[in-house]
Amino acid sequence: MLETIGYKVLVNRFKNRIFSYALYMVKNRMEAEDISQEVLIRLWKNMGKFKIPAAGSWIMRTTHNLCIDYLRKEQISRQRSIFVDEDFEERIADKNKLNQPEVTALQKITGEKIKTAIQKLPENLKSVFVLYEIEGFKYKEISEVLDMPLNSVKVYILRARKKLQEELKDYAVY
Amino acid sequence: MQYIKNKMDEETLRKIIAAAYKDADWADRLKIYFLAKRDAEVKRIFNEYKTTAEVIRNIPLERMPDSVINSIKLESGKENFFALRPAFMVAVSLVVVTIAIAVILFQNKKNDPVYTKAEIELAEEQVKVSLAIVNKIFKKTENLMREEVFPKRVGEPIHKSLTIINDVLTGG
Repeated sequence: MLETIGYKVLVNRFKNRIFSYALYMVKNRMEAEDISQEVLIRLWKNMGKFKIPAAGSWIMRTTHNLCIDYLRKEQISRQRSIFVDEDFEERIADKNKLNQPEVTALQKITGEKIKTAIQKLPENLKSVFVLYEIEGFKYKEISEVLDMPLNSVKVYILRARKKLQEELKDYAVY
Repeated sequence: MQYIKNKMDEETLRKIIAAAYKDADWADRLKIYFLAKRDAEVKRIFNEYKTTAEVIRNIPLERMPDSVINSIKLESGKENFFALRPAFMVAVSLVVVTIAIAVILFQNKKNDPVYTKAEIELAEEQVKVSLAIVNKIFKKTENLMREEVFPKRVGEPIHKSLTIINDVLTGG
């Protein structure tokens, strides 16, 4: 009973993070769904084997490992086409309810391009960047999830930001 | 980034980026703020990163499709993870019943009366008067027994009886 309730709480809390991370990593909605499903099944099977406060790290580590396994197995990370999220523009527009149309348009374009540019980042930079900037994890949590030193996390984030900015220069959105 | 490297050192660039993403400390933020006021190039770089950071901050998480969760209960073969509603209802029912029983028990329990000081003093006075009356009656009864009942009603007949017996025995 308690295990089931704990499971449901964790699923509700992390489901979108799991799916987002998988989607950014594998760049394919169907594969991201499969990975998410596998994470949730593994979570159920392993309930009770970890403490609930540490569940976030466990879940994201499992998600990351499954993404890496998938990318290695299929060797598709660079061949896959970039997913295009049709609703993305609308969601960005909702979040930026600005009165100036030109500003809104700029935000829309920039948001979509940035999302695409994030997906083009190398895997090691992208995993750190998505966890930190998109999913809101702390340096220490990312260090635990990806099993890398804290300083490396900071360095990777800086590199990812630079790389991203470099990519965006081509779009000349500023 | 070659154009940047030519103009400023890596540490300054790191601080500009951190300030733009709002995770630099206050000292660095101030430093970059004043630097950007003096140097147009620093300001331009800072603004570029800042715009990117603001848009990134507004990128929402992708929503996991419900079909992913729904398919888990079919595939897992274990218990139905999301059939929590009946279990939840049982738990809620238990809580409600427990509260109802507690309320009934609490209401049935007689409350201890609370008296004022004046009422207590009055009661004590009444008890004293009552005891005095009882005491008076006891004393009256004792006197009556001692003076009337024992000598006249008990003593005299016994004395008479003993006299008669004595007469019979002595042959008088």
